[in-house]
Amino acid sequence: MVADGISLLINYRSEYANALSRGTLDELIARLQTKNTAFGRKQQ
Amino acid sequence: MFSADRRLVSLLMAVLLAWVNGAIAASESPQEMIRSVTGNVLDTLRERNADKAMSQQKLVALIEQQVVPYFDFKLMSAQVLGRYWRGASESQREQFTAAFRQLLTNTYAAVFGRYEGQTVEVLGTHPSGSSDRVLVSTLVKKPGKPEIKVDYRLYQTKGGGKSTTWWPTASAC
Repeated sequence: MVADGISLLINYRSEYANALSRGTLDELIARLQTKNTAFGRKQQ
Repeated sequence: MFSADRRLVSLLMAVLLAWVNGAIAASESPQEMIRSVTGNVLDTLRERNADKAMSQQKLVALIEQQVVPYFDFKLMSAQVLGRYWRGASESQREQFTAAFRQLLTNTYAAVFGRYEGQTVEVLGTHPSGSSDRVLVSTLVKKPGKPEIKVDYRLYQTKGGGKSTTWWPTASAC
């Protein structure tokens, strides 16, 4: 029986559509870059 | 909200799709293709489990070498941004694609570090809409946990090889 459907990329799509309805693409890009930098720092 | 298991499966699935997209011989059947790619991914995860000393940085490097080359990040970026991609400048597209690529690499590194011995059984292949599309059904198994059904939708590329769409579904069963 199918309980639900999941997809990683659908998740991202929904998250980014939500962010872009409230802000700009440049802001979203900056947010991703900040996240990536924070991840890199954690690894060091 | 995803459970940890479902999130792992979802991430694995995205990796598998990327591998399938770039690395499959045209002569393989869709079922063989999924079995082969699944095996490669799980072998990599088992190696990681066997090497407890492997740092997160090494894991990121491993993903960069073994997984990332098979991704079409531009296509993935276009699909996650949808209409916003169409309205973006070339520079914004490049910046987003680079940031999204790094984000996915980091995410896989974090999730792969939590791999707990799941196995994948390929169940079979079924037609899926038009003649150039099929659906390959699999079960992701982990002892003591409910099995998770993951379906891969594949389409035939112009060159004859098989490649996948980016929007598969997975469901608990």
